[in-house]
Amino acid sequence: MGVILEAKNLHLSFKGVKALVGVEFSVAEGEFFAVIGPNGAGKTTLLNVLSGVYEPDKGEVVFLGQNLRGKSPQDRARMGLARTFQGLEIFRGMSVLENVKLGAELALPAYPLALPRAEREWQLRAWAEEVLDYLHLSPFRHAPAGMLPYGLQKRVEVARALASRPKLLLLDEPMAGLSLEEKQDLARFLLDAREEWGVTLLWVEHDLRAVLELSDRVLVLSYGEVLYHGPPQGVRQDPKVAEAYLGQA
Amino acid sequence: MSDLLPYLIGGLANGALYGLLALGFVLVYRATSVVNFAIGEFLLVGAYLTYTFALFLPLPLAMLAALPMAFLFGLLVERGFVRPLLGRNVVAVIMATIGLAAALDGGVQLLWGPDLKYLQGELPQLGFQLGDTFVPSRAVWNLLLALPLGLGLLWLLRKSRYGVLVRAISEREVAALALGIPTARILAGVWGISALLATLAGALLAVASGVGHNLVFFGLKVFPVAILGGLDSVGGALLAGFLLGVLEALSGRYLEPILPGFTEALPFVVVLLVLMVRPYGLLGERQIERV
Repeated sequence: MGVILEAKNLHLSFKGVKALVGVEFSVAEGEFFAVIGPNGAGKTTLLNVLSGVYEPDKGEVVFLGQNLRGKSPQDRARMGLARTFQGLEIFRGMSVLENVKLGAELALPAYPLALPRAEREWQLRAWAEEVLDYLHLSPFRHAPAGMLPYGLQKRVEVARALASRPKLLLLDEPMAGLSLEEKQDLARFLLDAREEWGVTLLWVEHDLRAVLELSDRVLVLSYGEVLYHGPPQGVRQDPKVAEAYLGQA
Repeated sequence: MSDLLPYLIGGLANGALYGLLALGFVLVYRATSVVNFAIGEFLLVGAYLTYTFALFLPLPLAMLAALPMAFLFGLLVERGFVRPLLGRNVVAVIMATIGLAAALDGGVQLLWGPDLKYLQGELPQLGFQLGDTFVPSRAVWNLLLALPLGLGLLWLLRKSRYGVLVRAISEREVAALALGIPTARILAGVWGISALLATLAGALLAVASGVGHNLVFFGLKVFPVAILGGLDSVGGALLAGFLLGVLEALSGRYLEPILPGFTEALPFVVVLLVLMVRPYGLLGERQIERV
């Protein structure tokens, strides 16, 4: 399996506060890769650097063999880098279907000459329906997304991201605020999506149990530094992780 | 009753222009959260553009020719004043529009001089007799242009792909970015459309009352209209435009003899009264903050 994403010596600070300090890791194609760490460890900052919201002060991100420096979030999205957000960022005023179709637009690039409008619209709808069906959202397709219960809204966000057929999907705490059952559902959807569409997953998560159970490899951050990078079995044994994560020596 | 009809028609004719201008204003607010205090100057610039084209083109063609120029002007404003402030506090952008308004006021006078000008040429006569009331050509033109344009724009925002993208950006810009939507280009287009609407309103207004600095005062009324309709409601802007136009006309007929000058204040009084009952305007979205 090839490497899909590589972070090399990432540094970023905000007005003297060091958010990332020499972060290095790589994600293999088809991997379920987790980033964990205590609050303020720089996890979301890392996602923002990967998705192009922030440019790192130093270091580089290589995605599919291309250096991402100077590439806008839109460029990166078009390259196949999708993400979800920690606070929900769905289009609340639109229907579930409209949300997912906006994601699908990326998967079906507009060639105005090659593809008549109606044809494209039909393909968009068909693909969006497939994603909705996959995530068990079909019954809610016409519901305003903002009116759904929280767990379903989270699922809509994941559906919208998956609809863009990303090669790598960045998930920012997808499990937060979900019930145990909803967590299990979401985990299953994500694993299935990887199987079915070959998407690589990088998720930032607080739920340590879910992470250790599901992930292939884990990156542990603390105060912007990498404490651990390896298989989940090693996380609990690592003394540095125990100290940072559990707050004791 | 029959002496009321001319007032109603005049009110609707004015209201159509209020509606057009408010549409341009609300569109920008809705899409970018920027309160464009220079909207009255957009109208002014548009009227002068039309005036200039009318110097060597028949008036209908001049009005048409001014529209792409107006669109371009809108793009320029977005590029020069709005985009550099992107990501800053939205108040900064609003202050910039106030500065822009002052600059445009002065710039227009420098370019075209301070005296009132009249458009050369005329629009084809469309006035007709309705019972024993004459519907003036001006009213027909205003309604003929404003209504389809306003309703068309509403439809565009609701149903078209462009409209969906604008709504997506206005609701969640970060998410739109993450989906690869070309936000900058689409928002620039919104400014272009806004300037285009203001220009059409300015041209129609200029047909009736000439081109001069006084047009800015007409532009001021866009604020009560937009607030009345609900700042974020495009449909509300159109509706409120007509409503205020008619109310002004009625006030001119019935209140002016008793309270001279009241008509000037009327839009603002109406806004105050409506806001007491519906703080989000007639068709505005009720803001629910969830913490």
